[in-house]
Amino acid sequence: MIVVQDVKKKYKDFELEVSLKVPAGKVTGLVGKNGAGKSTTIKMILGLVKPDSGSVAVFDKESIALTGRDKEKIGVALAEAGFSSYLCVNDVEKILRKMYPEFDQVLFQKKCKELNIPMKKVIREFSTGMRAKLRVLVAMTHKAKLLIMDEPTVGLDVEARNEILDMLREYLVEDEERSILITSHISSDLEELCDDIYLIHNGKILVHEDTDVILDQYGILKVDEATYEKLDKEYIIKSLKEKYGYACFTNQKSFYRENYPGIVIENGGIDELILIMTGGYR
Amino acid sequence: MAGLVEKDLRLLLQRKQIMVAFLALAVMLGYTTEGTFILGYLPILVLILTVSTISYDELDQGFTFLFTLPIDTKAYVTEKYIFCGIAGILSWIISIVIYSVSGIMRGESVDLLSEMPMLFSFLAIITFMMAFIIPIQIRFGANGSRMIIMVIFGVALILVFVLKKLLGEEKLVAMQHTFENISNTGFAIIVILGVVLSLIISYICSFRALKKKSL
Repeated sequence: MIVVQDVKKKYKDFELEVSLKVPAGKVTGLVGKNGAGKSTTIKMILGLVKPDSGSVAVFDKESIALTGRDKEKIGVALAEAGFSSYLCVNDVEKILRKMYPEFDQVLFQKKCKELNIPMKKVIREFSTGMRAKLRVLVAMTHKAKLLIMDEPTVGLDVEARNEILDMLREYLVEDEERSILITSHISSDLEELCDDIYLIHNGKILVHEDTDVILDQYGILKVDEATYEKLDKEYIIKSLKEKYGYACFTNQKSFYRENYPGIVIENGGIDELILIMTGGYR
Repeated sequence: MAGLVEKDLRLLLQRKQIMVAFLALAVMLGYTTEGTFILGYLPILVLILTVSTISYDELDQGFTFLFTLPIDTKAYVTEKYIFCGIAGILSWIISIVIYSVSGIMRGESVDLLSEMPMLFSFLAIITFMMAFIIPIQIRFGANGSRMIIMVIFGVALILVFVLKKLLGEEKLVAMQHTFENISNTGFAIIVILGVVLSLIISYICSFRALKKKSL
């Protein structure tokens, strides 16, 4: 669905160098701190920003050359952008009907009712949760083949987050060829939803791994200095000096469990991956 | 394109109270004010309202979202000219109706046929204004464009003043005579060509301004 190949984009104080793939039928997560380059990557995929070099293809077509017809097959929810807040949901529904030939008006109305989104209230009077739900709904009610979600659950309470995740799951179940590229700060969302994860930091992809592998195989070894000296470091991705000795991030925790039975091994989730690889681990 | 028109119509309808107030004021002014004031007043207000949809589009990173929808910059710019153009023509027609009815109510004889050149000159002025404002609005946004338009008008006023001083009274009168000697048909052709040319230049500028915008 998406192939980003050796893309480079230089700004005054930031440089992006990215390669990633989102295959058909897969959910791919793009994680990283604020300012890591997630939104710029998404904008390039959508053809809104032109790369200096490399190529970005969506549906086997250069993203910068995507036509209206191509974009009809993509559903997009951006973190802080949407339809004018002076419009109400009724207006949005009418616009989408004209915008997308495949727009499912019945589904849109049904979901608005289920999610308690008021049809006649102007968007600027919506709560954060309502706005987020509307953004996701707008993206997924025209039978898009590809969803691109930039922080769809940011600032939401648990209930609203679960509602959005349920919507995304329903969307995937309807057609197994559908794909999602999602960015999020909330690791539990990604762990539940994504097949694979890209970690981006300072404009570069640091890690690409299947979510199952991260959850099963990644871990943090907590060792004192003496143990650290003797430790086989072949599967250590990164080590950080701590008060007690070293925190070592590994992608083969079973190796260390078998060969070093005495050491403390904590499970490594996406949060730990982000923190250790981007230098924020405490 | 149909989706964009729908969006702009719905954005306009959000300000229906203002539109009704403008229309009521136009009817009142048309009736109480003699002359052609109403022919310029209503279309210019409508033009300002329709062009302001660009500001609404830009609010809260709106452009970024808008271009994730199945439209491109060419479709967006084309729709703005069509939308503002149609609104301008409709408001011009309404202003002619108000102008005629007001004249009749005041007991004046209204001969629209003989007034056609004057009526169309208003349409030409409105089109020139549209061609002038849209690219500035796209390039500089709501606040920037206000400032730029004021600066341009200021510079234009100074230029007129300087030209008047440089050319002197005699040359200006001679120029006026030259214009007066142009036949109605010739003048109409010049105006039509001017309008078409200004629209083409304006469209190209709008398109380039939008392409350069960081989304």
